[in-house]
Amino acid sequence: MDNADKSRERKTSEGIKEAIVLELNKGPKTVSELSANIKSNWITTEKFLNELLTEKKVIEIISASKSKVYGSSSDPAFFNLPLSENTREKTLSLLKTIQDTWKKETDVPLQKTVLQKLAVQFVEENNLQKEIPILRFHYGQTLALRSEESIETGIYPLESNQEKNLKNLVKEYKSYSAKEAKLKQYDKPSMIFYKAKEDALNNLHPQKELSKKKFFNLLANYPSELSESFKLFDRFIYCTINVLKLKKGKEDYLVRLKEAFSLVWDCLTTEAYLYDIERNIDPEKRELFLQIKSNCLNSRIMSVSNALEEIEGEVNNLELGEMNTSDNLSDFVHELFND
Amino acid sequence: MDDFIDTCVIISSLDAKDKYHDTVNIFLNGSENILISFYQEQEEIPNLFLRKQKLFTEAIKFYKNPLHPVDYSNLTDKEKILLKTLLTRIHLKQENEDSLNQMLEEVIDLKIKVIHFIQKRVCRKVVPTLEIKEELVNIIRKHNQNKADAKIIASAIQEHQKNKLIAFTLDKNDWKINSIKEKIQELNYNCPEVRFLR
Repeated sequence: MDNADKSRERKTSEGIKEAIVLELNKGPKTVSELSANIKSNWITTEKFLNELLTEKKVIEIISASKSKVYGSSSDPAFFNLPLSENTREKTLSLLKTIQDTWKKETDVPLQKTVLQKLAVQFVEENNLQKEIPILRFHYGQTLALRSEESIETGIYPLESNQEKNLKNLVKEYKSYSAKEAKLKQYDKPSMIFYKAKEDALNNLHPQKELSKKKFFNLLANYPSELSESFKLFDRFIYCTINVLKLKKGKEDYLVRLKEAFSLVWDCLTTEAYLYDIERNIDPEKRELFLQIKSNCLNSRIMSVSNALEEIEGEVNNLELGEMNTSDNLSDFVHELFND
Repeated sequence: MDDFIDTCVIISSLDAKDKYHDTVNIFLNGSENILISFYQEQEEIPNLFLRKQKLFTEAIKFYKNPLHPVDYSNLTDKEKILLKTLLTRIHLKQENEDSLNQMLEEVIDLKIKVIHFIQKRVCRKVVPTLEIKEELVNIIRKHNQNKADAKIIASAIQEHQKNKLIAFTLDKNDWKINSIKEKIQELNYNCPEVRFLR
């Protein structure tokens, strides 16, 4: 094989690999789907997929031997979810349009969190939620995809009033840090649980009054639809309230409680994201979505549960005399337990 | 002979207002081998406390927003009635956030006391939940609609086949197994004696 042939072959190989990544950037696929879309046979597609796996450009999302599903490491969809094409296009193009407008209006660098918070407000103010979904995630509401410069996308067509609105939002958000943009969003009535979390977590500090009330408020605002994470959340609240009841030494537990809470929060906000996104999943890929959802949640629930076990064990071994517990039940609570 | 106890016995021993509190504690103080089932520890007791907590979290949500659509799902009939009572008291301004938080805290206090009781007083937990015989639960449920109680009774019966025990409860409604004793024996199980601490 002469150099020209080798170069042609390399180009072809690179071409096929590029085509695979481009396809997977649009959502997860099986080898058969990839092979049909890039018009290469099954064996060639699988061969290059394996190379891409080694290069870590592709990941195996479902590893069942008969139905492996692959995703791109640069897919802008969180958890490589199979979102509908319309949701992908509209969301990515809006993010791109916001970035372009930002660059025209200000020299301030645009942080990812600020971009998402601004995008959420823009979508809400212009009632675009039907085509551009807003979802709860770790740091509040976000759009369904992250902005990835490597992904080519078009411009979202703005009407003149939307253009004006976007410029005003840029003017407002350019002065916000990521934290400020996040807290601004938490002030919305629909974000009361996130606001309660911020208050409660800030309270877990040795210099603060360590009030139990903030954790009762957090518990009272738990979104009831997030049923899979609730038991973990409840276990965390149980540990925290009992630690805060300690007559002395509660400070020794604060760091570990915070660590446990960050794991619980990761789990329940992952559930929130997956709950909110469900209606925007490509209907033909619903089964795949359910598999990804189950994998994401089960692994998290398992690891959070293990992490909680340790601190829970310690709390359960505290002597009642070390804690400020009520000796007598009120009439109402007595009645409640008196079956 | 071991003493298998129903969950209401533990609750009564920790609630000084319960009218059987003293009797129950006299019994427990004289008992050396207290048993409960894994099902009680792993499912019934956690679910019991989750329901009670839910009652207060729903009440707090209603206190903060009277338009909050109160969620009664998973609550027992009695809990639903008590939640309605609590909502009425909130409406009449007889309860506020602090008093509701206080009652929620009492529930959490009671939970840690129950956990302590199990750790310190229960000598053995019996019958892994997955090993509870469905055929036994089904027979008990024909007589007693409460599935949780049916599983606890089934656990006591199964354990009784290996180690003789007496089952103790305060629940006169759901623990009367005399009328189904024959059916249980037809499945080749001997019934333990059930004693009511009231």
